[in-house]
Amino acid sequence: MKVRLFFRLLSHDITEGIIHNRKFFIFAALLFIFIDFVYWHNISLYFSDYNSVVDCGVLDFFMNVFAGCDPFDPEANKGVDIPITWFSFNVLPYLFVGLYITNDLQTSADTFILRVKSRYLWWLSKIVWCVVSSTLYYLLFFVISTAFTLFSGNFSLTQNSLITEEFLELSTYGKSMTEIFISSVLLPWMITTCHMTFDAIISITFGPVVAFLMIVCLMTTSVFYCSEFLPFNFSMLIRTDFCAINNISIYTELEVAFLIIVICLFLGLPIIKRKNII
Amino acid sequence: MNIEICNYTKKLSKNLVLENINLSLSGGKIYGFVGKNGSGKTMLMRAICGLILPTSGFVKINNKIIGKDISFPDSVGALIENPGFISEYSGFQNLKILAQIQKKIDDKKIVDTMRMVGLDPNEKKSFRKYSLGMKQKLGIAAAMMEDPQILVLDEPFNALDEASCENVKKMILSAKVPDRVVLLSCHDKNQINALCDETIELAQGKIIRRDSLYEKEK
Repeated sequence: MKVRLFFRLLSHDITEGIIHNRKFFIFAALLFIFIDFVYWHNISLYFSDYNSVVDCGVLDFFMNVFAGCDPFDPEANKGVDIPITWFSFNVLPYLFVGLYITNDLQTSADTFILRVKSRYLWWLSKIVWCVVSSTLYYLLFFVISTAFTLFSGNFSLTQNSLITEEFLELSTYGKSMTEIFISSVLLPWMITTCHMTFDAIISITFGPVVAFLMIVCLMTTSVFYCSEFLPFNFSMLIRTDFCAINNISIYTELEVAFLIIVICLFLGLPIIKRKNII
Repeated sequence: MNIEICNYTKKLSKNLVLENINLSLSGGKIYGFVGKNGSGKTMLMRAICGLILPTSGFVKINNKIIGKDISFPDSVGALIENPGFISEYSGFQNLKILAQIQKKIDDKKIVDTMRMVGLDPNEKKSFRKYSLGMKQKLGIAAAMMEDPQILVLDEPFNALDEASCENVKKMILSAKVPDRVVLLSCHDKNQINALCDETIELAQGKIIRRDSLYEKEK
């Protein structure tokens, strides 16, 4: 009975939070098309002098977004390097997570929640919804990036080492395709998901605006400062052991992100138990 | 069906919205809550539904404490302020989605309930395009369609025309059965007098008066 109720709630969340919020995904698609087009165009220009055609693979588009930047070094006598692509890709989901969750709590109270009869199920459904939304977000980027590789006439799911090393200045020497996939797709997806669950907790406690501002602060701080306590660092290739052996292992980072999701799930239970649904 | 509210106090952001409420409500009666705006009627209804938890005191429904033994009453239908429905679906689709949660009723019951409140079940118009009165009727239908043991209607006559008010009145009277508690709030004294067995008046979060039908007739 509880399982059936949970799936009814999840179905409601997917319908209301994704299908009926499709304007957000349409906007995301436009952003992804812009990001990929700019990258594809820059690659074409950069390698225009080469004898052979240099085409992007799907993973090249991911690596472009998640390449990241060096942390701020006041002694380096260098300007601040803000990765706009990384920032805009990452900040977008948090605009609608908190708004949907708080709005659903207020509007669905006397319809759904009273029938499901469980605050915990409602919260669990929201956490799962964060995972589903994050997955769809990344799938959308995957589809658009795939479309670009098809459009270029040289479909490839992998990355082009020439582009990664010369244009992005990231070494893929000795890296397996699995490691590249984990670093540039799976890990960023986990980081986005864990921050969406964090956003969810802050939203139901302090409101969606505070939650969004906190996320922006975390992202901005991560740009300047490299630390294992700022998980957004983990979605920058340049700051993981993908690029430097002394950096934190991508597998450890995956575990940390998973742990954050679990912690947010359990932290939310006592909060939602006492929450006034007004 | 028995609802007991004992020494119930609720503070919200340092404001006392309900203060030391003591009430015993039993099945087979319609209770009317009256009072000025901000007197605590809606908050009390939310407390009974389990949507808010007390600062002190408790609500007991059939000997189960809300927030301790159960999160929400086992069988409750509520219309509290603006009902939340899916904007892109029609009225019937919205009610069907809700009915599928507990699977207590079939499509025929949904259709009958919609007709009783004065809505056309075949209407394809989405909820977003409903008038205020139609939204209110749909909210009433959603609250009543599954024959809940606790029926909570917060100002159900808002935005309804005269004919619809009469329909809803008949529905509320027909909802009065031995195993059901009906809680109703309304600003119209005539409606309250016509429908309710007991009237409970609130002011500034406190119960200031309680009249039974017997006492009113005297």
